[in-house]
Amino acid sequence: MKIECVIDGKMLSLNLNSNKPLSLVLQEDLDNSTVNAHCRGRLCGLCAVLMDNEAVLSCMVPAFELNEKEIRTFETFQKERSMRDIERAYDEVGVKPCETCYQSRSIIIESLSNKLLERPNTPSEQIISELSVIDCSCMDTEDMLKIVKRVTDLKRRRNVRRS
Amino acid sequence: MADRKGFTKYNIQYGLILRSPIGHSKLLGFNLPNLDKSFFILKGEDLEGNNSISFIDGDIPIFASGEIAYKGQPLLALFGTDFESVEIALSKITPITEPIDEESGPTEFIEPYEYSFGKEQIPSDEELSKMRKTESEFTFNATLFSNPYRYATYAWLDGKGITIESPSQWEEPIRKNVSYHTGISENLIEIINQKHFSKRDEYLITPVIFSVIAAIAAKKTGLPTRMRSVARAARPQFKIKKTTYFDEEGNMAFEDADMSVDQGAYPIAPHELQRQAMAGLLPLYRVGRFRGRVSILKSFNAPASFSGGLGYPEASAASSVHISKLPMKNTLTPIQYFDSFDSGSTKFNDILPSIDISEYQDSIEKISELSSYNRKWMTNSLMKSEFGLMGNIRGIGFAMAVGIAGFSTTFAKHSPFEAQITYTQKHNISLNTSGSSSRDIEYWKSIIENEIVEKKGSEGAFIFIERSSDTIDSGPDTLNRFTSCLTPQLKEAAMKIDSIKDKEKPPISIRFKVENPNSPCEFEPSGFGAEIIELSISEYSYKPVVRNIWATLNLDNVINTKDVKERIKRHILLTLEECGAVLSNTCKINLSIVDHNKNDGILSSIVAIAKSMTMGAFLNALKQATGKESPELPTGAVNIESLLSGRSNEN
Ligand code: FES
Repeated sequence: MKIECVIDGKMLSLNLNSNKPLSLVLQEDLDNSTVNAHCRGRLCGLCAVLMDNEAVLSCMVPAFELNEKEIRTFETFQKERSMRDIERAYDEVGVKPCETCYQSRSIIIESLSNKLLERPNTPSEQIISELSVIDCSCMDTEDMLKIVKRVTDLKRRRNVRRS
Repeated sequence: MADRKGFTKYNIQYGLILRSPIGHSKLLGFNLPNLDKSFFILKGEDLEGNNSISFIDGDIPIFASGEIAYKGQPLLALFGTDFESVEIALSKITPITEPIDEESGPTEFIEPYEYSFGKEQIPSDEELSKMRKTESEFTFNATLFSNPYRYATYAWLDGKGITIESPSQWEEPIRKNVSYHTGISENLIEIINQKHFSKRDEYLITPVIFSVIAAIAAKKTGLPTRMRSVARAARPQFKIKKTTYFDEEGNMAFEDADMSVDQGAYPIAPHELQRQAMAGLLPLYRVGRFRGRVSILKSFNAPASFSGGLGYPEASAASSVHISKLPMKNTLTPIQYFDSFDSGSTKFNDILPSIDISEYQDSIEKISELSSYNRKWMTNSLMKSEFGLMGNIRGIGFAMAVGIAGFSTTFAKHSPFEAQITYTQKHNISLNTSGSSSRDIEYWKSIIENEIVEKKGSEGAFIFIERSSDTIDSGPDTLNRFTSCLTPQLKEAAMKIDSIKDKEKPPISIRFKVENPNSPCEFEPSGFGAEIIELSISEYSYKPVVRNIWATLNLDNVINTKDVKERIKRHILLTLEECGAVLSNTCKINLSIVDHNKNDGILSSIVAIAKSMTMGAFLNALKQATGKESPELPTGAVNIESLLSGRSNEN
């Protein structure tokens, strides 16, 4: 199946098996070194990427859903300004994810902070439940929440300054 | 990413491993499908007499040959032009096996290690039978952990040499084993270490096997090779029993500890494990006499890795569980009991020097108050005796642990691990070491800057030598080896260079060993920690849900408090995950650190302390919540349900 999409800023036209998960497309066809997880459905949560700005688990996205979508993996996201906000929040809260979940967790934090920016009244429970999609216990919930809120705050302030 | 010479999408051979779907059995051969010429198979028989890697003091087979030792053992490697076709072809290959009738239980692998110290004689069996005693048991079952990350191992020929790219906690065994299997001299082997994070020492042994397989394939075919795998690590099974005997006045007259460790099919560093475990079994209070015994078993389970602590955390956690059983009456909580007698300093012995826990009493008091430990402990105990089966399913547990860092003196004495510091002609300082953790290197830099650069009055005079085939092997990146065992010798060498650098002509090099000749015991205590965990058993899932954690650590030479706090938190959480606990959404770690600046420069082993105290506190809390004396770890819903249904009111 022919699929046209944008991955990490590159317009691509790919010939893929329509059911091939995005995580394997990234690993095997595009040699992306930032998506390495392959838990065969155990929901490790370590394969998150941004699809049209929203975090998705790439192993759950079949190739046929990629048509006309924009995907950003950690490969490009790590160079973006938003990642610097996230790093700043890690630093201020005094914890950062371990190397195993660093990339995926940062992408999910990005997506959640965008959501929180749009809908500031999103209940904490909802944020927590989305954060707990990552099966890695290197951080406690309170710290994770603080980080998401801090990132949202940094974004909000910048938006205010811009306007 | 490294520059992978000669790699194009069309000339790489992709390799995958076939692992055994069954456990111990005879391997008679394989049912192979018709494979075209683009495939290439590597099996045990193809390696003729060479089918193993050597690692520390043992050999591990690369592929099963003739016999399968454990479920999951590599059977063969298949290479082809892309992963998809290799995966499909591999699914059509099946091993031909036959069951083995003989007894397959664990067997003793080496002589048990026995150690005893104290003023009193070991009481006779008859005397012991008359004494009041407190017994406790602890089991940590063997578990297999596989990191969901798929990592790649690359091998490509480069002129007469070969380059290997892989994540690794220890490059030297890769170099040695690749050289042995390919005949390429060690100095022509370049190793590119990929960025990795090892949760359970999973990048210690597996990458060596994969590097060797990839190198053999690259050598045989002349093609660049890429292999893919998930990193797996098995932890040993630990069974520990401690018994304390009291004399007529109620003093602790004798303590007996017995520990057996099943290291699976191919035990690694069993003697060192015995020493590390023995250190954890030592009582943190005074007893008339102590006797410990550590046995190492070999079985048909997956070979165990170091799992972050070679038995010390488990033994130390078992000691904490035992301490909490010592108060015989319910009128005193374990902390109050510990407070109530003058435990005094422990006796200096061959394993550990004297330790005085009373020095840390204030820290213990502080977390006890913060957590309302005594009140909650009493309430839980009372509730438990008043209400029936599911009446009270809350527990609060306390544990303390002394840190030990690095290898034992005996192990270090017989290890070739070294590093070298050089004062160069340009008055810079270079280091030659295989240590790869940037945190450790930064720490060493700060020591060198303190001892030499600052005195010299010029900043930035430091160079860290790039990795090459001449890099000196400083040992595996585990057990705090780098910052504990080598640091005192580095400090001494730096001081020596500082004193002679103006008198002698540079370059001046000093090579130093991992062995610390000034260490009087097997281990140096490095830091202390105490922790309280509060949990409840979920009435729906029967899982232990951790509600709150209070921890306090007294550490030596803290460089960066923020970083240390983050690592402690992380290891507490990872240990809880390993134990089978889940965290409540509101769970918070209340953490405090006290820093002692010691002259020796040894950093406390955060992993050893955090793992030991967390495991101990979790077990004690679980005991109180389930009402059972010896819950097993890792715990699960089934395990807890059975504990609750057979629940007693014993405490
Ligand atoms: S790979 Fe584990 S959830 Fe996607």
